[in-house]
Amino acid sequence: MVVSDSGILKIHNKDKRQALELLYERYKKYVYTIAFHYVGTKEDALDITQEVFLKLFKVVGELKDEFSLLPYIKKITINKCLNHIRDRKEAVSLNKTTEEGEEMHCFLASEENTENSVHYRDTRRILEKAIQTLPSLEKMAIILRHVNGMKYEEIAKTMNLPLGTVKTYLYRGRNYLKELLKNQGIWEVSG
Amino acid sequence: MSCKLNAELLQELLEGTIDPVERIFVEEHLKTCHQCRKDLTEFKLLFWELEDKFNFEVYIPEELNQLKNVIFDKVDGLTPVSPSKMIMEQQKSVVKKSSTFLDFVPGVKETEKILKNGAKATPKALVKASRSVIRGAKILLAR
Repeated sequence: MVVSDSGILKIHNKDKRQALELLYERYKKYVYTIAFHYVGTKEDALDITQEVFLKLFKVVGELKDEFSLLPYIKKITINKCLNHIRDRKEAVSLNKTTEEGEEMHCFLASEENTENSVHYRDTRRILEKAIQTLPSLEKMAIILRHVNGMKYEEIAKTMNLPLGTVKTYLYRGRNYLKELLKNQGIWEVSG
Repeated sequence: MSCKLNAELLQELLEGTIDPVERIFVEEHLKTCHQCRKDLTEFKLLFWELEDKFNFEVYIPEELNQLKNVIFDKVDGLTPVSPSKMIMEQQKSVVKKSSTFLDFVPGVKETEKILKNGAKATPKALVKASRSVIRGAKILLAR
């Protein structure tokens, strides 16, 4: 039997544990997937998932029955992801180099330079890596738009940013990805 | 020589969010600008990669299920689960996992059906058998 979100909130009044278990089962993959694309490693993604659910479980008792949970969960997940990167000094310094563009290109190219990997053009892996090197806000916008298939307006609402800013992040992010993927030589574009 | 066309317009064209007037303008521009045509092709390829769901498939680790217990331990005011129940649940998941392969063995489902039907038929058979035993006993007693 599928219980609606408001149904879960009603159950919460009677049996807290059961409601939280239902919530966890329903949204664990969703939260983990966003987190994984954002941070790129299993351990960090699990950390974020834990933080998101702890936060959600703390406030869930105060939510009203007709409250829709998904947008709220998206918001917490995004905040936790963005903060996670901010908390980690290493990752921030990596992001800073990306803003200078050229340096990041050299870094990525050198990693893929062996003859084998040139022949083994694993687009998926290269794309994953390229997304990881994006600055945090650009990265989040790209993930929400292309992995989660969200609309511009929805992204703006969830990230708490003006629509124009979201568009700029997306344009900039995609431009950057295009250049990176082109430099990796996975496309052979002529003319 | 780089073109002065706003590169964002190319992305808007592909996303379908472009203003109709700008669309005409960009399409006209593309007829004459080699560089923008090339950029557009590259963006098309990028969009194609980004739209490909296979590129974003995520392996869900087993730890995600175990994480539930860690989180629940940290939440206040939950009714604690007894250790025996936890063991039972673990056992259940072990059995469930170890028998997953059965779903893929041909013929297993059929056998299950036959067994079930057999199980339904048994009570009737038992009643019949016990009746005949009673009848036999009566005959014996009468003699």
